[in-house]
Amino acid sequence: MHISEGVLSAPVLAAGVILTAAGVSLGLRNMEYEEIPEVAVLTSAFFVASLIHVPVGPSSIHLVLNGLLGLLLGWPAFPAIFVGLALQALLFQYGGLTSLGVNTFNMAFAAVVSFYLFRILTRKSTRFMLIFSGFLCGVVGILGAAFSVALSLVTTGEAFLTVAKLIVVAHLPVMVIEGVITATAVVSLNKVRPELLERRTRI
Amino acid sequence: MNPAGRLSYIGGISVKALKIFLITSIIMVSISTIALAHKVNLFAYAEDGVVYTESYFSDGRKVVNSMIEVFDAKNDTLLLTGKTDNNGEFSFRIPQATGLRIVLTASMGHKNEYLLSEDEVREASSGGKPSVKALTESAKEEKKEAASENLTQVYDRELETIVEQVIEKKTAPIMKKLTKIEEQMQKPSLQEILGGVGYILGLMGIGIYFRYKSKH
Repeated sequence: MHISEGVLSAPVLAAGVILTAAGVSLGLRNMEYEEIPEVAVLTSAFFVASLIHVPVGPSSIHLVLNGLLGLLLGWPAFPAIFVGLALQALLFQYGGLTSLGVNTFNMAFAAVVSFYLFRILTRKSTRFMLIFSGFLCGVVGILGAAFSVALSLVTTGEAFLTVAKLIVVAHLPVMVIEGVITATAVVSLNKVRPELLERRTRI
Repeated sequence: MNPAGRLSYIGGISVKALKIFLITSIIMVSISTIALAHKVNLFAYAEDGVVYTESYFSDGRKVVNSMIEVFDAKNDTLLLTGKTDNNGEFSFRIPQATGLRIVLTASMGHKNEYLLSEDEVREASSGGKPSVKALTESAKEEKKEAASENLTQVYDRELETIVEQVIEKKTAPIMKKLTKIEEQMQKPSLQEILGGVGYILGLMGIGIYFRYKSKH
């Protein structure tokens, strides 16, 4: 998921920076005073999640949790993922500072998409609906991010379909794991703190 | 809502959330010691006119069948390309005695490089120096002509070569171990992970500070 430094061309990097800047400012404007601790806690979870690894075929994949972040945060997922990725780049050299914009957009955009797709479902609090939508939310987060990564790699000359297939197939196990984790989180949050699931968009 | 009410609300949310977070992060960190990191590492060393490279994902798995490109470090001309084998290794004869920039491109946007300094390459490429046998032979020839004072010089050279070869043989395992250690140093440490979490909490504090000021 983390695209390394020196892989992408300058126009792609610039586009990533611009889109991420827009997303981050939207997210900050949408973040209420009371939500700041929640955003920080989920940022930390995102930051640590990338350290959990699932070896698959020729590559190695890890948890992303962007579906969960998107569902719980909405647009503030942008600043959260931005901070998480910036720290990962600085401390562990995952991705890189120049590709930070593109990487943030790839993961955060999918997060916001899964927010819009599943926020209605999670309000219908039948247990089955919660589990079902939570699972799909985790899956869509990864699927969307994989799609964006493939799209940004097209410009490096790799054929889109091949890369997209490779990335999606490689992330199938993670999709399932993320789905399970997101579903579990949604169900338990619904019990403990149902108000966290009732985020309204203010855009 | 009055300021005190707001604060206690935040206190309520963060204490509970922090508890949950701390427990999860402890579990995550303990899992993560088994398998870590998500980037590729590339290490290279030169010996006896050959450059050896090893590539790993930083959870320790080998990077198999991925492209390696070797560039001249100064003018960036492509010297040669190759693919890593099933052990993530790739070796090649030193093409020229300049600094070498070795670039590994793994799948899905993973990339890393290793710079082999000019000194290191030069030293290794002169490793194709005459063997002891050849030296002795040339010494024999020289012996015939050389005056006796030159003889000690020749023996010195012979001795030097022998010593160098022995040292090289003895240090090879150490070099391998060093590469391993270097690889391990790339893994995220607990301090770094906790440091990162600390940064996030600090940012949260800054955010709360500014929002609080602007609201009241």
